[in-house]
Amino acid sequence: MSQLIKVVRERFLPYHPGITVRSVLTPEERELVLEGRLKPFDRYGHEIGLGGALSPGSEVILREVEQG
Amino acid sequence: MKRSFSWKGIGLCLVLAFSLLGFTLSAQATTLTVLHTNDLHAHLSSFPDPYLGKEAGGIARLSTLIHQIRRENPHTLLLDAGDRFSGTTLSTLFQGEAELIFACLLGYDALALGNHDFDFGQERICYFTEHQSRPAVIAANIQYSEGGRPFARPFVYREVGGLRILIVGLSTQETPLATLPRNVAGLTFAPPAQSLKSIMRQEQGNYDLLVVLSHLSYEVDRALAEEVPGIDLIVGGHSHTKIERPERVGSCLIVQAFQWGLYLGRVDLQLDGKRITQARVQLIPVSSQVPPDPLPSSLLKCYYEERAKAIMEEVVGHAPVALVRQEGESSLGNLLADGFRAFTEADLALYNQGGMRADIPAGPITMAKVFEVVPFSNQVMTTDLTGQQVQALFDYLAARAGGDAISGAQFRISSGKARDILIGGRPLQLHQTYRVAANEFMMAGGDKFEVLTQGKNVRSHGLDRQALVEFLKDLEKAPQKWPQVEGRIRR
Repeated sequence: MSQLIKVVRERFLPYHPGITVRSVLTPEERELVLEGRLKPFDRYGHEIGLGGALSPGSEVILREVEQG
Repeated sequence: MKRSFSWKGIGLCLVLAFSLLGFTLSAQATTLTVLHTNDLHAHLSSFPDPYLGKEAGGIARLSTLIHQIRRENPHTLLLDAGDRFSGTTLSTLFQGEAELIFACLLGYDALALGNHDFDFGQERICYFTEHQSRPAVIAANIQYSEGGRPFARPFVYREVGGLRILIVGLSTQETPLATLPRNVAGLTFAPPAQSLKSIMRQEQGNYDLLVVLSHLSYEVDRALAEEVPGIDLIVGGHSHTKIERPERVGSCLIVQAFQWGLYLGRVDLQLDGKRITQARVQLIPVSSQVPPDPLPSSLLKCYYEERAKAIMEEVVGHAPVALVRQEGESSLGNLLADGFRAFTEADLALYNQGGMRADIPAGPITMAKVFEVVPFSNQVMTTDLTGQQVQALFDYLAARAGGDAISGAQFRISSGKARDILIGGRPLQLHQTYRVAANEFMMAGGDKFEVLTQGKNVRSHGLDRQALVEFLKDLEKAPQKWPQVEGRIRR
């Protein structure tokens, strides 16, 4: 399995133990997640929390939340 | 920040919990309900959530739902897949005590051990592993390195409606890399699949259903279900995955309930004799609409929150002068970076300017002030960099020319580059390896510290606040070591 973590839009980050969803997002992305305007998902289509631990080869996909 | 554990409090809550659980499971069960939580991270009080309202989650609202479902179906198990500790002020202040007391009060059947459950040391867990039958703390793949004795019970049996349910606990093998070494000293974390297979062989014929309570992450749970046939249900955690529909790998059902107690996971297994005929999976929102259960609510407010107010006023150090943020080297930055270096015993430490959120006036430093200065609950991490990578790191610091802090090193900025770099008072050696400490934000390349992502042997040591408090307490004993602005970065 790849030791890289793929984050939205082909951004790749090296995996290390303890790496979480929160730590692979940019501060702006994190803020939007906290405000409820973006949601992170895994490769299986499940939403994942900011504190979620990532595994080697994980993917983090950000989707905009429909407002209203 | 060590505090004495309130054993009397735990005893009282155990009595309450057992009286609340005073039902007997009869032999006519046709539906087994498994309620589950994971990664609560000490979210005991309600908090605002953009989707669930201003007062979402919280142990009192969870309790209401749990009791309501138990009344509907007494054939109910309550399980937690680990990481009950770490993430809120109460957890830091009481070192996990409140989380364990509420686990008793809510009547959990079994708790798996997450990596963060070791954040306050082994002794926090050992009372339960050694003395308590409920909740059973279970971890099949953690042993004492010397002698191989299990750290906790590997598994527990629960009988529901005449069915013998074997519940096996599994913890992530990355735990030793995700907490302070002293918290896991003397422990070995074995491969989960291997430990599970061994128990299945040993207990063959003794159980009707096999439930794995896993703090391994959803991806690893899927791999486990593929590698080890015969698991009926995996109740997972660690990846904070919100599984809203039935997910199966072969005949194994995998569930997980997101994070922070925002949802209560519910699995209803329809049984025909000892065979599962149907499974229903639900995540029940713990929203503002759920009324809080008065008992945990009062315990939380009148006992813990009141005590917390007093503790926040506790003085943990005395600043000889005002410590302020400023462009260039600052006394506050030096304090924080020195704290990281002392906490991790790294060769050098970094602290980014943006991570310093408040100044410290001269005089007593309260715990509340520590929370103001370091509010993010970031992990302190270390990585091994080559001398060449350290050169690149310091060149980047020189180019930023801001208020980032360093400890254990000094250099001069000339033409936007770092010159005359000294590490521990000696010139930087390009082919030597140096251990570097920084917060998890920087380690993941935050603020464009990309060179930190290229290191090896990355590991977590604990919370940034814990590092600061421990360092402040050390400085009380040795005030001559108070960091000064001393020309660590010269221009």
